Amino acid sequence: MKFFVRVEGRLISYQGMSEETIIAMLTEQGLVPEFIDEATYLAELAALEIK
Amino acid sequence: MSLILDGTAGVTGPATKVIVGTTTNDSATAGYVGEYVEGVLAAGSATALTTATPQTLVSISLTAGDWDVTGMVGVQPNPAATYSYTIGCVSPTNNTLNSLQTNWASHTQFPAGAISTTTADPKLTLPMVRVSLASTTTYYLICDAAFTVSSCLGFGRISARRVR
Repeated sequence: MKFFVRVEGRLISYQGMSEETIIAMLTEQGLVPEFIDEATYLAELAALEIK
Repeated sequence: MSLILDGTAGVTGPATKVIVGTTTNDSATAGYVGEYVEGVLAAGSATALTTATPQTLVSISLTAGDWDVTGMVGVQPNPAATYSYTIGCVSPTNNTLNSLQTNWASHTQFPAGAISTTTADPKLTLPMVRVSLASTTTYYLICDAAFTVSSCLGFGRISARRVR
């Protein structure tokens, strides 16, 4: 299963890790992930690439 | 992933054994050979780099076991900049190049002048490294670039496959 995350303005996709694992991993780095759906991820990425 | 060992005794030779892989687009169960973990920071969402400073682009969490880890690092250079070097690697330490002596060979590097600022998003393909873990460990995709003008951006992918 894939997860899509917004972290400090960056868009990241993850595969092979649970949501809890992603949260724990990023929390250790002092980061707070915001989970978004794939459609939002793709739309935001497309908007960034247009710029 | 299913594992089927098929032994067929030949008349004059030893038995032949094969491992049957998946025949569809599914994923191996966590903890099984073939498990795949990936993290991608997309090019469109590249992050700003600080010159001559190793920086984590994206990370993955690996459970105990024997993994092959690899990745790619891309940069979006400032056309006005010159580059002394650009290094990519996977590392067990946040914002730090993998300095383990046995893993120096895990680095890939553009030397000075190798980056053409007219080429869009030059990329480094990182060699696969073995990562043997006794407990859950985070692995980081690291980029370290030295450049003369700010606003260089980095992006990339780190991935791992459980191999046994």
